[in-house]
Amino acid sequence: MKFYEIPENFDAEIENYEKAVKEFTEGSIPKAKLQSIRVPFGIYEQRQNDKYMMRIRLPGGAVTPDQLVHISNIALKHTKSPLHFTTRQDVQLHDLLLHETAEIMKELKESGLSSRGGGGNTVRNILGSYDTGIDSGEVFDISPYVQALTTRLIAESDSWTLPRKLKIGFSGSPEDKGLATVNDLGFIARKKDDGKEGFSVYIGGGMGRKPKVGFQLYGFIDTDRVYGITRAVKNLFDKYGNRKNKYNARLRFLVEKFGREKFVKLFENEYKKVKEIQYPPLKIIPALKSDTGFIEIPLFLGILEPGKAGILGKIMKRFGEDTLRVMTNQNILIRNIKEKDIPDLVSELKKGGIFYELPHFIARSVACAGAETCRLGICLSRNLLKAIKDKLDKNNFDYSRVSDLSLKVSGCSNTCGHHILADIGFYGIAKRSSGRLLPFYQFVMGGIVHEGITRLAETIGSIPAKNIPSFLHELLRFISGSRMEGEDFKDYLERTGKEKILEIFNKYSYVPPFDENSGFYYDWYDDKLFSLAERSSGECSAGLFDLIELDLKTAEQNLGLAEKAYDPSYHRPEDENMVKNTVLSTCRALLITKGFEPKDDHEAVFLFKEHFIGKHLKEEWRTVTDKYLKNEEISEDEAKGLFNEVKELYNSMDDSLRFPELDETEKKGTGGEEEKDYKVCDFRGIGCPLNFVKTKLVLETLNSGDKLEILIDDGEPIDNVPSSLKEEGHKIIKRQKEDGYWRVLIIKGED
Amino acid sequence: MNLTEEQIDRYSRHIILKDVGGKGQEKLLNAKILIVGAGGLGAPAALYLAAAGIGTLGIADGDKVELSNLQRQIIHFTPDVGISKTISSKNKLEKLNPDVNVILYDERVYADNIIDIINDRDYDFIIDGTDNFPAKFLINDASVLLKKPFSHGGVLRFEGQTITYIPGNTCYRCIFPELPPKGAVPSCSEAGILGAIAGILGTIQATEALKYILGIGDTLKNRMLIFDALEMNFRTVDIGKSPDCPVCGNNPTITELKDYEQPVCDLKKQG
Ligand code: SF4
Ligand SMILES: [Zn+2]
Repeated sequence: MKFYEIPENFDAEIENYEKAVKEFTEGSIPKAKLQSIRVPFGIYEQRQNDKYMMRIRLPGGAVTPDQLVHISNIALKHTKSPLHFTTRQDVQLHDLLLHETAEIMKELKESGLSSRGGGGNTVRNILGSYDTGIDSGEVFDISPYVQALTTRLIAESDSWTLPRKLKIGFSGSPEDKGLATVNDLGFIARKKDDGKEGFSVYIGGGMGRKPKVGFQLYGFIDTDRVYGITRAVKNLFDKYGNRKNKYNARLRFLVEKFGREKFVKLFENEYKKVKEIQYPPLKIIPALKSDTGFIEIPLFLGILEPGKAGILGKIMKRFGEDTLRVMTNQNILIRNIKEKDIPDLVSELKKGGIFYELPHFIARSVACAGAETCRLGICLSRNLLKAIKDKLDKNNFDYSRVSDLSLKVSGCSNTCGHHILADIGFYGIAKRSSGRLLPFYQFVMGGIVHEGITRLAETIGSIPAKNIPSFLHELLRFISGSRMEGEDFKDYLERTGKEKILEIFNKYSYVPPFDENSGFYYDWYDDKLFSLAERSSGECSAGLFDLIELDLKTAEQNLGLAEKAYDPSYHRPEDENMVKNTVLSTCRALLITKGFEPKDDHEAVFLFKEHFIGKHLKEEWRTVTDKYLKNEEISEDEAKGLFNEVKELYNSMDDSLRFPELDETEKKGTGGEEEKDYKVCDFRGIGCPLNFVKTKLVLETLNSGDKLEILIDDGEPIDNVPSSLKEEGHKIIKRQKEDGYWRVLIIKGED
Repeated sequence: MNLTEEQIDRYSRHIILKDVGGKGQEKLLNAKILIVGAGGLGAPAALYLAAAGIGTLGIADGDKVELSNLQRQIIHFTPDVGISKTISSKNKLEKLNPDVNVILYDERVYADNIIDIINDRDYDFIIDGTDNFPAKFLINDASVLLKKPFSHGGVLRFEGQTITYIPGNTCYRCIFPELPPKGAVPSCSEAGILGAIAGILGTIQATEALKYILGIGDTLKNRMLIFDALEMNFRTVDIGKSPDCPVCGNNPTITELKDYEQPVCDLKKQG
């Protein structure tokens, strides 16, 4: 039995991949090239260089006992590291060697498994309610649809070349255990009064860095429209998706861009076209009637030794093929067994070291891989969960009154740990104190997943990683004591309000200076000072952006204060430092992209001067950094100019954290005016939007491809005019800051 | 033609639009639009078209401003009562936008003058702002015969309807071949109108004219927009050209203009 069919051309694809690996090893293709081929196969480089992770697709978390044994054997052969079961209901092999990855893919294929689409801009593993088929409360078993759609989508080559990843979920009931309301596209089983089966359809949800709840596209569709709708979504996404900026590229950003109404209209256009083509229907293989017995095997952190996975597979073989599901809480559900078999099975599993008694609260808690292996991670999310468990266990915490609460931790704002759906969640960020970075988490609360009322958890505030176990201990004790028997957590929060929780929280938000307690500057169970520098090897991460944006925001705030400082009516002596602070935060912001983590302020400005000025920024800015380093007075305009320049540079950063470099003439500073073969228009002193109007009128007289340079003022004009021109289809090829104004070079676009 | 500094400023919100730009604004400044009837529909249409910089605006109306007009004919003000609607309109329009050349036809349209009026400046587009069926049929027939696009509009009580005739497509007579029988026309007591509704419709007509001149979007060609302001419900109905249309069909029976009799109650007071 298999839960999806691997397309015929997959052997050829593996061969291509193998070739690329070989070329890379021989040095004939660069790492970035290989990366772009490798990632769509679900193979990622880990935090540790030269160690790889492979993510295997299990639709709706379904895996047969045979397949599990097979995976276990592959893991034992190629890596001794544990298997990771993830919140996307797939399974990961860790610590693989690059040159073995192609071989592993071939081995996986023998048992009908594939890692294709485990990463990159592809159709990812399709989620499904883990208890579908055995849940007495569900509308109908959605597995056949999850599986048939998987088979269809992985056979379509355009599933691997989308603008960004596309995530789909199916739920068997409004309880939405397949997270349909928070995926790009979701289907929830529904039955009409006349007994006709179908789905309600949700679109535009998703987690990641800017999570969003999807909206209902259809209240009811017939089951035979599942493929057509998915096809239309793919077409729509392919056509309008943003391929340039991967941070605003998920389907939900299209909804944002067009507005819901227009988005739906565009979708309907695509759907109309799809209907005309008459694709063959999905091959639905009806689900067999299942036995209703089940056992949830708690896997703390989603980890299982490969040997034990093999034992589990062998045991389960006796009970049938459709008996295992990976759950979105990183546990494994044994299902489809007879109730009477449960006691014996549990003792057998215990003997095999697979089943431990864990308090429900801990067993169901979730942590993503985090900075331990994930390159994008900021904090060691798994270690935090361990620390929480240790703390609670040590204090003999009575779990009984919180066993229904969910605790979820992500290592960064990317939401792989689903913190945004949790009753209590945390996600890793970095903050600065004593001029150093330290591990922090944002604390969120009150997430709900259920058709019609799905709600993302609300951010309460940030807290140092070190304080979380104690904080949570106090919080859980407080909740245990004040929640009524059987009270829903949502009702509880509504009833008690947040004040008391905030009061507890505030007690733990304090960070001592480094000299006083350096422990805060280490992440949990880590012996190295917390740092982000090593992890910025050309890969952007949400956490990195958070950090850069934090610095830029600090700079901007200081700038605001500095402006006031020059206004005598606001004068406060301490504000005079704000100009310097602006320069400092400005200089520090982008250093992380080059892997620098300065120890102190002086070093930050120095590194910036060495690595940015003359390379990405014009020579003239050197006077500002020099003044800072020599402790001379810097004017507010100088600070502001540098800030704007750096902000601009940040905006032009590409996916590999690279910045545009100056050309030769610019490097030398403002030399003699070069001969210009294009028109220059001076629109200084003209406000918005008239400056744009005038630019537009001049552009109308030119041919597409012609250049035009305009001079516009700093401030609102430079913020608005270039972006408006871009919207009209013109290209901005240079923006150059002059004394109080900007030169913007435009290439006229198509009419 | 080059826009002056003042024009660039005045029309900047047009020029900003990707679909308009400086070129589009020049089209508007070169355009000639005739508004027949300076009443409830014609007033807002004239104001918006003048504001938009339509270079030549013709206004045809033979009536004088009456106090009961002011409830909806927003181009006329209280001191205007008693003077001709065309003069009253010109005064406002020229103050609103000196770029506009306002041409006045201080007469009602009839079969024997409408052709001359339209041909006077060879108007590009006509707005039917009249309030009575004889005039509406006359404007339709004249436009079809002269191959001029025009916007039909009608309002009553809380409802309105409008269609844009583009030569070669559905005309007003394709939908309503003949004038309604006298009894079918609302009596005076029923013929009230909420002033703002005339404003909605006149503004839609102005929008159609602007789109036509600019060559952007889809006009109400071959479809009629019908709205009910009480329900605030707008819908469009697709209506194809009729092969049996007496004026634009395959065998037209109307080949020259003629005047029709005004129904019992003269509805012009509510137009
Ligand atoms: S949430 Fe962040 S740290 Fe955790 S797995 Fe996702 S990207 Fe990595
Ligand atoms: Zn007709």
